[in-house]
Amino acid sequence: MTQEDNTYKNLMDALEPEQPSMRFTKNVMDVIEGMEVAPVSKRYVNPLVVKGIAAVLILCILISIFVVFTAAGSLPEYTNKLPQHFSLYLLGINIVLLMILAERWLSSKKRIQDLQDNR
Amino acid sequence: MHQAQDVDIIQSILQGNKAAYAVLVERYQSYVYTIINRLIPVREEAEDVSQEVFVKAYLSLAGFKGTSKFSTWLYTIAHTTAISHLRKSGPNVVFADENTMAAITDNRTAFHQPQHNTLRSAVNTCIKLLPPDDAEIITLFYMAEQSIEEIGVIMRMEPNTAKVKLHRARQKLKDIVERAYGKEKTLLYRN
Repeated sequence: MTQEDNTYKNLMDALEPEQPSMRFTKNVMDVIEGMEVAPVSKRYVNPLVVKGIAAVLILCILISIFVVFTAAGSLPEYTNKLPQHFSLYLLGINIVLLMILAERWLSSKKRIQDLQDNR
Repeated sequence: MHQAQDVDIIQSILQGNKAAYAVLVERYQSYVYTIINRLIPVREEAEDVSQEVFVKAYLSLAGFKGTSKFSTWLYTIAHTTAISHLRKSGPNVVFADENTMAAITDNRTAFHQPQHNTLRSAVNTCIKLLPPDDAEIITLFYMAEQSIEEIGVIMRMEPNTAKVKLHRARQKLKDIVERAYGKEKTLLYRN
């Protein structure tokens, strides 16, 4: 650590919080005098509903993919204008999106774990 | 450090011991007030918002799951309450851009320099010259002792973003100190 880093660290160590007025705690206690801790509210949306919607969407996607692959020979005329291996590209994009989603989910899980470890 | 005690106090409050909440207010009032004061510079306004934070925290205390430190949970409420207060304040609150800040910094530091009798007041004055979010992140990291991950939770950003933002805020603070004291900054550190 350079001398400048040390002096900078000293500078930061000197920080102290500012103080509100002397009556602050009393004011807060006066305000909450007539209040009660609110009971934990139920979740706004039932998790089963969310899972149900997700399941339906995934099912739709799977059915679409199945139809595209099985009915390749009887596809409408306009599909000939699509680039070659179009469905493969589409599949590739979906896999990449899935990987991004998985990475986000795992990193959020890791963050929660880190916060719990820091307790 | 206070974590176990915080949880015990919360349990006690949830069991009906309302007076125990005063201990938590006493313990965190200066940190909450400082964080809010970084975003809302008007002292009276910052104090009102801090009070609102503690009332909100009390009302939703049953919702504190203990998955994070109580301080992190409380500072998250402080951050969101201050931000929504600023939004409600509307056009009265204007954040200066970097060039404007630099110009203000030059003027203010020149104006206040003779008042820097102690290192502490000098550092606090320099922090107040930072843009609000930079001042907040410096306060959270050094004063309120929150980790990068916790700052990410409080300020609703990715930990990597928080890390970069903290680094930049530190650089800006360093620039302000150097601009204010120049080659004589060693005198500041020695006080």
